Amino acid sequence: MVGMTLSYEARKQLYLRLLMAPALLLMAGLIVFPAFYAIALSLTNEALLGFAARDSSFVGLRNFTRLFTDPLFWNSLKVTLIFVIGSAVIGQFAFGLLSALCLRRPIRFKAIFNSIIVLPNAVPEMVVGFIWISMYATGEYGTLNRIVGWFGVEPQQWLFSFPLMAIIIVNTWRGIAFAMILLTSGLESIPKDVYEAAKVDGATDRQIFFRITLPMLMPTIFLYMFVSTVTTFAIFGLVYTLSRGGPANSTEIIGIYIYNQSFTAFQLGYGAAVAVVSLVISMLIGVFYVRALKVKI
Amino acid sequence: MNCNARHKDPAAYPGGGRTMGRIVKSVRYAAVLLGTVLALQSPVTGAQDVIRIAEHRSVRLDALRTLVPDIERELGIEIRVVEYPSPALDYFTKLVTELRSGNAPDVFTVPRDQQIDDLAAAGYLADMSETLAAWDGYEALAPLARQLAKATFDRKSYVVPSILAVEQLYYRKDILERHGISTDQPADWQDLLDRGRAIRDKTGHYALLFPAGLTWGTGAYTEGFRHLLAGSSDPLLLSDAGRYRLRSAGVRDALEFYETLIEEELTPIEPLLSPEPWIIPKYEMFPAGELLVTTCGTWCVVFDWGPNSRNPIPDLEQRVATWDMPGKHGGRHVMAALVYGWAVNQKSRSRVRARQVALRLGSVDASIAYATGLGNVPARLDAKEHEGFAALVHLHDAHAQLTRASAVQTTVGSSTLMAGVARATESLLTGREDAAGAQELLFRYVSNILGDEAVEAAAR
Repeated sequence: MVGMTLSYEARKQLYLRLLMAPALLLMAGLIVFPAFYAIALSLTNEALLGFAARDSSFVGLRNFTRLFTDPLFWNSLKVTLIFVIGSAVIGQFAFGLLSALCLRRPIRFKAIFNSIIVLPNAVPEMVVGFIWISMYATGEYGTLNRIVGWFGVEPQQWLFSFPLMAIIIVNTWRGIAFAMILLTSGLESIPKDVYEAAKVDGATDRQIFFRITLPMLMPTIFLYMFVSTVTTFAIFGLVYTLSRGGPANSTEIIGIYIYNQSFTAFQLGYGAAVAVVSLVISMLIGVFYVRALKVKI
Repeated sequence: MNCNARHKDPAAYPGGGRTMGRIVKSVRYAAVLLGTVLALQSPVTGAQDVIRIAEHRSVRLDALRTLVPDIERELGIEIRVVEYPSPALDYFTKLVTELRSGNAPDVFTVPRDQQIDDLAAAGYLADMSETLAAWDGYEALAPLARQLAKATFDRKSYVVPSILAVEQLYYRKDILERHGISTDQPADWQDLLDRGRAIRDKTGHYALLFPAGLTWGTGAYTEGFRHLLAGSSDPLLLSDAGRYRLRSAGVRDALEFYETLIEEELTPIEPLLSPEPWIIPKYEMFPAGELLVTTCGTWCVVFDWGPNSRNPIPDLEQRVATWDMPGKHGGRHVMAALVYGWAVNQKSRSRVRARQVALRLGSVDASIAYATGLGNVPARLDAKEHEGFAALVHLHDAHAQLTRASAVQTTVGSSTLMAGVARATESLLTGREDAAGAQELLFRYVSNILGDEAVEAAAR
């Protein structure tokens, strides 16, 4: 009987493993292998042009030494940090939470409001970029310039005068939906009777929010922070379309910096070194959220 | 209980045996499907007669499409035109990545002669030396075109020259005359800067544009820096050993010229830092008379300001004229660049046919088809006898200048050099560095990437 049970279990295990195999193979081929390949590449002078493209050689940690002394790399890290905090941690979260709280109440045309908020998330990021290029266009025909013109403000060069703020606003606009959906599900999971009990005890709305809603929403908030921080860290297309990292590197987030090094300067080895550092930072962010804040995901 | 019997009986474990059977069946189907797909993908006999040509920008695509039927008929082949992204930078990036991965088209263009060395050193370009030597059009090419078609490291020819850009200073003659500012050829840099100051003071507009900054890409070097370097006190960019001389007095002269333009507000800075820095100064400010002198090539009078451009300048020939670029201490020069030379993919399975196609695209009628839309001049000197060229009156002067035009020689690593110049000039635009700092930044950037052996350490 024992032998038969094991045989059944063995079949079941084999069946389950076969089912998982395609996903595991894809992950190994598209995530794990490229990551290790990038690490190997970062230790070479591999390039897309010149003699190094034909015969690259091992250069040890030279790319990393260069990277840590490159002011443009540090600039890109600083820009990325501001971009992530400004758009994901503050902008999307604040507006997402506000939307989730507002739309929890019984209001008319709720479905329409929901759609309006979700729509930007359904648009591909390159398309979003082009839409906002039109919004931020210079001269009196730019949409935003026409709007501020009604209030007597002179036409502005938004992407030149306020470049980082401009891309933070676009990314916030685009990401509110994701925050709202996640936080709404978190709000729905808070038992109703807790609120009823609080009201019976005479708690004010402010007390209910800060002492019940927010603490009980914390796991969802951390989950959101984790996902949005890592995904915002990896953004490329949206910013590339809007500003290509300029003017004067003021919007050169890490993704753009990697692209510029790899496919504008054609230095694959150096670009890979930056990508490896970016990967490590993303992993540290993940560890920070998952371990240090003791959130179970 | 017969355990073995039950073990073998699929019915004893509902679904277990059937499932395994289904999986085995699915794997078989998948293998058959995969085999079919691979068979369809594999090369078949006769595919050698199809030549793929990479091309980009609607003007160039239109020119190519008018030529393809004749070439197909003459060579008995089928040509497929592969459309690439428009901006030169995106075109080049896509081309290089495809060359690297081995699936680039058989024939393509190299946007600027400076890029030939890097592409050839990487092993992407087929050697065209023998093909060109045996070509009846070779001797008709402008000597500079023949020279620029060669890589510096092995002196082999890698592209078939078709068109050249002749580059000078273009100025708004009408506005300068209206304000009583001299339109004589500037004698030297000081004279040019004094002219710029007069423009600034009398018109209130920007005077001089030399492309600069990261977002202008290779243009910071090709359309800006090299014009200055060529007229500097030390114009050689390469040492006898073929190393880059980035700490030379000539490089410092060029960067100091930029510094002066920026410090004295003779050049527009904000537009040069925007994502597409050529749009505002070249397409808007110059036609509007808000920028009065700019470096540019023959393409400007057709593509940038011609009647079919986005912002045409009416009566262009009366309103816009050219100066040669003066030298720092006198002298003058006209710069030329071999643009969009036709190259053959070293990994092409049909290199013989591809070479024939490239030669055909270097013919006079092909170069005139391109020159008409783009405003560049044919690389062949015998083009002036072609009836099609007679109609391109605005290009005759520039074409005649090919025999006296010059270029600054670069070598392998030119892409890095150009990226370094873009960085150095950007540091001046943003005020992060002075000319000395920008020169050091350029030196460090290039030596970091190419290695110390590619760059002269001392200022020799």
